[in-house]
Amino acid sequence: MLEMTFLAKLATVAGGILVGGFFGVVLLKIATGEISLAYLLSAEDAAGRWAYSPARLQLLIFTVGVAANYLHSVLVNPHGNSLPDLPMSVVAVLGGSHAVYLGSKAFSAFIQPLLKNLE
Amino acid sequence: MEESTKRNLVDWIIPAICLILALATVAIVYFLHRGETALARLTIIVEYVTVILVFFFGLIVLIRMATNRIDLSGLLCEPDQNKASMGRFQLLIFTFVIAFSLLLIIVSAETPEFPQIPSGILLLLGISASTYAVSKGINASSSGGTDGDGGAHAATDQTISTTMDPVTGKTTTTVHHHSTGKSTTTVHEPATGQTTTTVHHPTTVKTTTTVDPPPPQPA
Repeated sequence: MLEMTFLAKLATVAGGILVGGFFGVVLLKIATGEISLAYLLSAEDAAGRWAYSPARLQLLIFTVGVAANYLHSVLVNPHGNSLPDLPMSVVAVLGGSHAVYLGSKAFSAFIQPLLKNLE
Repeated sequence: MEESTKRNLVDWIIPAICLILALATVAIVYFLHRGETALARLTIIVEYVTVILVFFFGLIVLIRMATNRIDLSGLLCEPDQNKASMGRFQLLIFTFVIAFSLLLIIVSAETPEFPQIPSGILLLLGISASTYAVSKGINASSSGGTDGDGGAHAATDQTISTTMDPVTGKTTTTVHHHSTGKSTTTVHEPATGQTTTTVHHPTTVKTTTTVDPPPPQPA
């Protein structure tokens, strides 16, 4: 039992170092611009110009909102033998947000070129 | 000491430490658990060695990421693009949030154990990963213009210009990719038979030059 506890603690420390390290490196590279976030909220329109995309903005807002809310719920009560569950309504809203993003993407990839050819 | 020699040294140090630790673990378990059966000792050794191996594999990847030997500049962009993808970005956020939450729950528990994962979280990760996959599918099946999440590019995406010096016969070809901003300049000198290729990437602000065949080393 003592052996298992020590091993579990060792694995937890190792996992913590790796997850923290990966997160730190990615965050640092995003902050220094080495991982580019350019055009994150832009999409190409029918004329081939890059313009602001509301579909991407709403996805970003929902993603950050749900992620922050979930992290908060874990930080408030980290004790337990299970991850906090996410209400089905939140999952449904997030699914809708993703559907809007994909719909917008499919529209600009397939429908817009067709409409442009018809003009 | 040369840079490559230093790199080789670092490449050897971490696996060597890993091997020494694994061997030390075998020795310690052998001497501390003499009264137990061979199978029980083997089980303990395998558990410890697995943790050591996984940690050091992760550490090597982490060090290579930090020292740019694993290039992360395109982590949020599709190949050959300089435009970030929301599909990739949201997957990155959710992956890190769930990983951190999992770690926090394990650390906070009195006796560390792997927590249960509710169906809502599995659904969340499924939606996130599916969006990424569908996004890639849309890009792959659409031709021509894309909205920044990758995809095929028409030939008009690049400008190619070639000039030749009539006296020396030197040919300079420049290919500029509009979407990525990347430019490749190839200079061929018939006198020496050498081709110098210079690639400039605006995202990483890196310029790499290669000479083929390489110039002779000074004696």
